[in-house]
Amino acid sequence: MTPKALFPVAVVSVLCACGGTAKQPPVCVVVDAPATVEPNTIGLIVDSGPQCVGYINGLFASVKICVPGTTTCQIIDHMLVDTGSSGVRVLESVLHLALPVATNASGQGLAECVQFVLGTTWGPVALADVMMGNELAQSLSIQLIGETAYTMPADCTGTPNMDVQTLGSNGVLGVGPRMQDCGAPCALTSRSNPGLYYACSSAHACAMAAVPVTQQVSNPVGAFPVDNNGTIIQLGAIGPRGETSVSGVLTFGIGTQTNNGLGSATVLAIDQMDYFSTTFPVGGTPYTSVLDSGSNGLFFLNTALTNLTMCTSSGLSAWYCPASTTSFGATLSSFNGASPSTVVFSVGDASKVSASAAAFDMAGPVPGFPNDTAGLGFFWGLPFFYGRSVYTAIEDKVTPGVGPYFAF
Amino acid sequence: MKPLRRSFPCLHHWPWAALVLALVLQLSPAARAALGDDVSAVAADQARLQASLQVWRKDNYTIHELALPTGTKIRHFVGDSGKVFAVSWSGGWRPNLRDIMGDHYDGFIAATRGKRMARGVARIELPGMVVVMGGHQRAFFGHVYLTDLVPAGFLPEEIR
Repeated sequence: MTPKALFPVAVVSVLCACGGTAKQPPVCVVVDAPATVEPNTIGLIVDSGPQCVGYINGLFASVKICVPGTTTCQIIDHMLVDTGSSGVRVLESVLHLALPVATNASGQGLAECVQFVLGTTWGPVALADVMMGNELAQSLSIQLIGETAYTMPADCTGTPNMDVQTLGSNGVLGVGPRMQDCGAPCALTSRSNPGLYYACSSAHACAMAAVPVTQQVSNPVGAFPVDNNGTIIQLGAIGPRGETSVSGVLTFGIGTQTNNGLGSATVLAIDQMDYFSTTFPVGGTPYTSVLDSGSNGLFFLNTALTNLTMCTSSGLSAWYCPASTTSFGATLSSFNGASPSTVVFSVGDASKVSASAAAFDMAGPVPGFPNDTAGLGFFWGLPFFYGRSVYTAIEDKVTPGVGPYFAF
Repeated sequence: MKPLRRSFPCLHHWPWAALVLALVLQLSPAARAALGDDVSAVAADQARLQASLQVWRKDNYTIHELALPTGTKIRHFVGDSGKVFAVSWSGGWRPNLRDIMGDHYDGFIAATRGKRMARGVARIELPGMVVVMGGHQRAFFGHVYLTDLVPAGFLPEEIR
């Protein structure tokens, strides 16, 4: 009943930091992701996160990381499963393997400055064999998060989220619809290069550099020899009071085996920014939308359009606190309006989340909506995934239906 | 370059290490038309970032929009005092926040360091400054404004 369990979530209100942003929840449930039998699957778990960081709506999996071509491996638990990014990132502080750092043609080590909205992760690009179930991505470019190899340069800006407490996980398992985290722009030698990648001539001298797409930090699923065209995230449903944990399954491939057919799922084709459309209310106005398992709530519209009241507790300033759980209808469709499908979703009172809950129908407004968000009105975060099978089809792969897309 | 690179493991002990560092820093020049700075710096930014510039006049402020070669747009909101009171951005890539916030960047980092930062969307209030950001990989938007510099009657909702 206390708001304390809520602090590790979407918004840090620095003015209100005394409201509990540094406290631990009184109860912490940490569960190992369940074992699975089928070779193209791994278990998923929603729990309080590693080291009891007190995550709400954090989806985690374990990933086996190996020195390329060897059996020297380490299983990293509590990797945040993220359809909003692509690529594997592991905290240096939890990884005890000596992985080779990727180098450019001049022999300089490669590093990356990655933006996660507000937080930033910095660190070298390393090569690893990444294993999930029986699927193996060989010699994959991954990011090690930390400054052991290279000092974070001044032009890598943003708040560092480079330890378990600030990242909220031991790493990120980016299984979004893209093959790389950046793609063609980061391979350009012109000013059009957004400058995510760096080449390092010494531990303290990293400069922005063009990096070929093949060397960029890449979606591990896209690098599998088989079952490499996408994923299915399948999670159990949650009750109105939330759950202390939710288990699920991450399946590799879409329509490649008997266990991963697309069936009659609604396909949401996405544009080049991975946007699709949500019409709210049903029959109402279409808004640009995002689907992101790495976002820990549903963020939609504002109080004027939802008639939801904001929470009054200082630590909950980002969230809606309706007097009772409120249900809405919305219609999701492809970015061009094709294949509409109506869903019902609930918004719970964020001030009523129990101290032990790790899964809850949390929702809040989109800050800056509508003017500053270019009409971006819906961030469907992890609550959308509860009780569903959500498909992510990777770009440039052969899939049932034309990718990239999300489907449910 | 070759002999230089071979020496790098002990670079930080050498006096000329500072030179190399300076060279690196020169490739990423300091902020120009950032929050709280003078509007005259926008033109310098346009040249430095090889951006195109468009200017719109509003009731009691002016918007200077830089379209970067990366596709990201940065809009500077300039009051009649000639000072940048708000900056917004949108595009595939989050811009250099030091360039956006200028002298206020270090305070922002000091206030948020050690905090778990939002995924999805976030609004952060600091003394005298409000920061709003959102997006996901390959799609970002956001803005920042100085509460003491905004013109009379200006609504944050006007920032776009």
